[in-house]
Amino acid sequence: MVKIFQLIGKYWNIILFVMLEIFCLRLIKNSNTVQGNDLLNSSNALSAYFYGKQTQIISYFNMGSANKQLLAENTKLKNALDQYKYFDTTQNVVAKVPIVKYDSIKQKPTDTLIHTDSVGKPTIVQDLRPYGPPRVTKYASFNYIAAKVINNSVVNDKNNFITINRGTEDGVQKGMAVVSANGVVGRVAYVSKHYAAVISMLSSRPVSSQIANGNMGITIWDGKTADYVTMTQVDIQTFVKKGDTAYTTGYSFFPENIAIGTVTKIDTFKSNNTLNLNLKLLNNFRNLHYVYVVGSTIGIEKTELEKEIERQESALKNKDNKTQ
Amino acid sequence: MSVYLRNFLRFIFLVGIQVLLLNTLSLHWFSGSSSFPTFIPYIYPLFLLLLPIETPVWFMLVSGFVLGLTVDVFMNTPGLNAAASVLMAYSRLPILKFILPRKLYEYRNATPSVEVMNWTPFLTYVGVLLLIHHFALLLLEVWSLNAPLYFVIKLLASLVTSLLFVVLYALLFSKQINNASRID
Repeated sequence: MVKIFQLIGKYWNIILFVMLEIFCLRLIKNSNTVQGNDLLNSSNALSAYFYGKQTQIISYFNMGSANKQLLAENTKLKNALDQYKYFDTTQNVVAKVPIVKYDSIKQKPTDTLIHTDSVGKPTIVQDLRPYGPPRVTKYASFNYIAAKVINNSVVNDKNNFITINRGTEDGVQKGMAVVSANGVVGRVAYVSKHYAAVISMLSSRPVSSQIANGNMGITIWDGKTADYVTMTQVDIQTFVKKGDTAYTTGYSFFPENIAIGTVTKIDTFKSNNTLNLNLKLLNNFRNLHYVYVVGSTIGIEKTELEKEIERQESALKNKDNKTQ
Repeated sequence: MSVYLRNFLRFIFLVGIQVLLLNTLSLHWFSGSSSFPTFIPYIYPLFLLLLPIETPVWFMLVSGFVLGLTVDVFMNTPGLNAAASVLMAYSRLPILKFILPRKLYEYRNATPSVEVMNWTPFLTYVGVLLLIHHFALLLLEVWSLNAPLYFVIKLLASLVTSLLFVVLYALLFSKQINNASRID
């Protein structure tokens, strides 16, 4: 027994050496297993702390190359993006609006209001409401062709034109109304294969318009600023106040009830019993990006009908001239 | 400064340099040729090499094990550096006996250094032991001798670079040289 201890004492160093090496080799062997050595890897708190500090310091030295990499990546992304810049992502929409017919009209006694106009003379405004069950007679189908504004002018005194990237191939025809999300924009004046020129609200073309309860007028641009239009020939008995909104009527090429602008000023003309309303346009014409060309099946039908009347009338006139 | 404190600080310093600086460099001498291996220099064995000459062998072995394991923890290679360090620690005494001109017990309280040994013996001592360490380490790492030329090139490149760092360390931290340069 003593001899064994003496032997161990004599070869203590080499025994320790061999034991340590065996332990190390076992560690190496185990490190490839799934269980591994959970303690002996760099995810433990101490080494992770040191590595965190190291990364903090080293990231400063890498900044130059990191910047270069980011710049290169930016360039690459921008190039990739530019390929899609002129890619047309606008989509056309079809809207179906029911056209409702009522069998009778009722005057609501409670809605008969007495208003005092600016002079102090009381006026009676009668409110006529449709009465009875509504009947849907037809669906007006509006085909909204989305378009991007590629050229826009607001500075001309007479007529301002907007160029859009839709043409006959996309279904745009001359005379179609153009609206945006905020309100009216104008009407298609010239069409080419892929483009169309829109004569905007800021031009000398009058637009039939109405305010809230159906009193109509004619809206026209006075050629001064790009923000205001004037609605003329409004009945003097119309009850209107500042802040009311003016809409389009169905009489013109526009679809009904598209907002034009809000009333900012009311001028009374006693001589012909009309009001002039100053409207602030809801659209900012200086900042137009996307518009919709409104193709309306009913609208086309209507214009054709009206053209037919014109043609007959002119034919009648020619006849008269000939007889004379 | 006591011997223990000095060696403890040297341990922390060398492991820090090794883990936080040298391990993040991946050197290759000829960047053009792809066949030249990338390598890192190892300077942490210098801790074992600079322990006092009369350190008992069992302490050398244990400290080599602890040193290697510490580096392993940071490098995610459990046991690799520890095995190489233990082997180097064990073979230190025979090398010292072989290189030093006098009997070992005559070097009381001395550490292997340039002042005690002079440049050539010191570098021989460091070079041979680092060769053992690097050989064991790289062999355990690749675990084959399929590409002997690649292995030898990597070994030599790593060894030479490590030796450069050792020389740098000796120039920085040996008192005699610093004093001499101050006199000049």
